[in-house]
Amino acid sequence: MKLTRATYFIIIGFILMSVIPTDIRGFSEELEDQLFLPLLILGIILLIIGIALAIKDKELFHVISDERTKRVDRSAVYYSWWLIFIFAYIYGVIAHIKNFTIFQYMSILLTVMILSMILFHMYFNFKGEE
Amino acid sequence: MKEKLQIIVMTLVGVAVILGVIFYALGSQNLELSDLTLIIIPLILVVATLALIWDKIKNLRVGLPSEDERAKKLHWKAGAYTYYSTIWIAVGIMWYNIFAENLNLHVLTAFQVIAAIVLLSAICFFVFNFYFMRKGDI
Repeated sequence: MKLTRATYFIIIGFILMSVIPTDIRGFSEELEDQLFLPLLILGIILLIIGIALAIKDKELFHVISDERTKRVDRSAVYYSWWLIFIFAYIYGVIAHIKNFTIFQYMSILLTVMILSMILFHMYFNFKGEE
Repeated sequence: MKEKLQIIVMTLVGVAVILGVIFYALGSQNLELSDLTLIIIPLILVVATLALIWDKIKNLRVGLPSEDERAKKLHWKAGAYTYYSTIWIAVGIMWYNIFAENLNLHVLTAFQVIAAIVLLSAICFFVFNFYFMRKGDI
């Protein structure tokens, strides 16, 4: 799925509905039970906004990609990787001290990976001068 | 000016990491294998970073920009490939642990997983960067 103005909402919506509750469950099942419904509602709202934008921009089935979008894609992934690299080490030391399980470590790491990539992509896309 | 500042910041971070490692090593009473890994990983990264800084300094000395458009594109490409590799490394390690539990193999601890992800990710970046620099066309 190509990242565009519309798909930002769709992907973040999916993350809120499926990934974040799983991450929270790794630490506390009670907290996950409390936050499940608000996250689901927020996710559905973002999903609807995303689909509406995709229909408006005529990008529901096909997204045009040019040289600029390729540059934005690569630079976003590159900066995201640097952030993740530093995050993985610092969070790893914290996880080692706090005795986190592998699941707790990996779930947060993969979520931050995806979210940081989307946020960098949004930044470079809206910045415009790439 | 921006390039010089970049080199100074990178050098300061490298020195800070080395100092941190020295203090960590001095503070530990008995160094175990896990402590040694915590020392070796940053040292490998600092050495690799120093190699990059040295390359930038060489360019600046002869009056060239430390990083041109092509080098920037190559870094982006290497970073992008490393990002996808890191995802697969993380997923692969999780799969390995699931299979290892069932097949009575050595199950990786959380600390070993962290060390593997950080180290393999760094190695991937330097390998891809070196490969694309050698290959040239992008």
